[in-house]
Amino acid sequence: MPDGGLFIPLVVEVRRERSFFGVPHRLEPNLNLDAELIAEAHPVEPLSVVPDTSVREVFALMKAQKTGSVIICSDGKVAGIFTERDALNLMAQGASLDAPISEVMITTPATLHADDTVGTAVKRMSEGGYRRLPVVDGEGRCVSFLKVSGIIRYLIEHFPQTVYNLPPEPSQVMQTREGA
Amino acid sequence: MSTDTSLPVLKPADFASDQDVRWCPGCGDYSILAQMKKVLPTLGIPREKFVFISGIGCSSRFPYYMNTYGFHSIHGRAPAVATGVKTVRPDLSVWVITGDGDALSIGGNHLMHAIRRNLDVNIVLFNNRIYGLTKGQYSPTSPLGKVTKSTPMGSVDNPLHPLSVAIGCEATFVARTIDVNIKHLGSVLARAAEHKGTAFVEVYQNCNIFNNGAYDYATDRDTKAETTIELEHGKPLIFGKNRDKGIRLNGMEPEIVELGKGITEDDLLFHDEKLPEPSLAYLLSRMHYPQFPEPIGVFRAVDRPRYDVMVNEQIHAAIEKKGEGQLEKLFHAGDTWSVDAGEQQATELDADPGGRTPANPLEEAILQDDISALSPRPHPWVAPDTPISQVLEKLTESNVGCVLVMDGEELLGVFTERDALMKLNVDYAELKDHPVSEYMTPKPRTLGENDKIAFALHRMDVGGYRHLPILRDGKPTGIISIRDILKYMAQRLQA
Repeated sequence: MPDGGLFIPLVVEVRRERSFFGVPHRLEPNLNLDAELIAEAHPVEPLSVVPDTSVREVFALMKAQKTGSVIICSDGKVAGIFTERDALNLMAQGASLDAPISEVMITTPATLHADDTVGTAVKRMSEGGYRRLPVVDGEGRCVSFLKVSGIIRYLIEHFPQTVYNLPPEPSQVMQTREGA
Repeated sequence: MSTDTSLPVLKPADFASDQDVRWCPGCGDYSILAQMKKVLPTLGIPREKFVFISGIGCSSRFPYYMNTYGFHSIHGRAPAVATGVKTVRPDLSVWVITGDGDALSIGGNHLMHAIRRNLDVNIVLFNNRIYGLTKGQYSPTSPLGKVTKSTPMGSVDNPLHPLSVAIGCEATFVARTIDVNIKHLGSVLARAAEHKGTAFVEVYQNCNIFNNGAYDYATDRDTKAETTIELEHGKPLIFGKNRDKGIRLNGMEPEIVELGKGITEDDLLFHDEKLPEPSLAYLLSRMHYPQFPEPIGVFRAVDRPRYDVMVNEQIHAAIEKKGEGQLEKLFHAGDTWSVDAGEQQATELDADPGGRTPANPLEEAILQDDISALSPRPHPWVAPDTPISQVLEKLTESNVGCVLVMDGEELLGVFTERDALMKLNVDYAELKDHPVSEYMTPKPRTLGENDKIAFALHRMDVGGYRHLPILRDGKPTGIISIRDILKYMAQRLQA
């Protein structure tokens, strides 16, 4: 195992006050959730709309972009979030699609800051049951979007062989010896 | 918005064959197979236009696992078979899957000629630097000093470097990627597919049984930024965790320099994959770890006349002049015979997930813990003829993102909130009386409650699924979601 310590000292100094769930974690040096910023966990470009966009337009946009959530921005700042879960609830209620998205969005959503660590993101997501969180800068502008799938991939990247090289079916027994 | 409905939209699953994949658990081949299935649907080529041709070796089982045309041919001769296929059917997308032994030892001769002819095929060489199928003898890419079953005192053979060989044959497209760098692997395969002419791709592939860890330096998250360098056309060669090091040319020799201290990006070597002369690409192919970071990405991508095009022009010209030939006569000349198949011996192979020592407690946990540790929750289910309106109600009332669609005890499909948004969308009011079977995701991938959590991670990350039905004795007992996985991992990290 190559030495994993080459980037720790720098980051630990800067972020000493943070530790995962309040206690210093005891994992091997190559898992640095308290030191690494969320930029490492594959944030994606956010899809954003203005508050008076109709629900109908938002539905169509989400389908076209194959995405499960949109950020609603007002004057560049995050005003709300609307996810496929909210879309499902509207459909179940048979709600009208002509209302502006601002009437049905979730206002003041939980967010992350660009300088938050992966550890903070994991904590916020698992405790709040969120699958995605908007990432904002110091002025409340949405700069990216962090998804749970990005965090899972970040963790897998610490042991890619173990996951990516798995056979497609777990319990496979060979009945015959294979030829070439 | 109008959509072109003339071509069916293909998905990775459409390229999966019904054959059991029989590589050792933990083999890098799995990752390459998964990315290939992901890339092919993006190419806009109908499935029946793909052909996978292989020789002999572990990697050469690839054609069985693709639901396309394929040919598991003879040792080292895949390029020869591919030459025939592509020349007769220039409309096909032809892929040669080979390994370091098959391509460079047994089939070195054929490889060289396919490349120099610039036949329009894609050659993917899985380089694990060992003979895997024959259980661990040294290969033409095994390093000097390598102790194997056939080199008990260490190899004294100077190894071949596949990209240097391909560039020596003046390949028009040359690239390198790594099995577990899945994003890079996918993008390189896509670039190779787009190239007109021979596309030669070397994939660093881990053989976890006979040469485990051969590429740890290039895949380990902590070292890969220092040991590999990603090539980008028109960009300077910069690497390092802090992107503070670069490659500079000192005369004809590359050297590592640190940025700053009077050295700027402009002093560095700039990558140019379009150079007509292959010298720069060759120089890059000679950069090896540990002296240098090893380049990954596209080394060379240039245009040159293609064999398949030129031969067909000659054939057309000949037919115009002399008329059609008579191939039937040739086919029925000489003797034919058949060989009886011998009896096959039944053996049982041990499954050993992972095949390597876990690097940290989290990795150990996902290999040891069963999916039942995630406590799959019993999930609501509906019959296939349930109207959409009732299904939506069920999803909201139960506060879940996914229902199972069951016909008695048989799992027919799942319907998720994602299906609702993507398939019903603004038309949901008109579709509310339709049966759920029309809009469900049929035949979902499942796992057993005694399978390891690592498999659930694989399905979710590679397959992109967020819900997995879990079975006991073949019957669904519940569903796990990606949030359950996050919660599980968060608890492990806390412990």
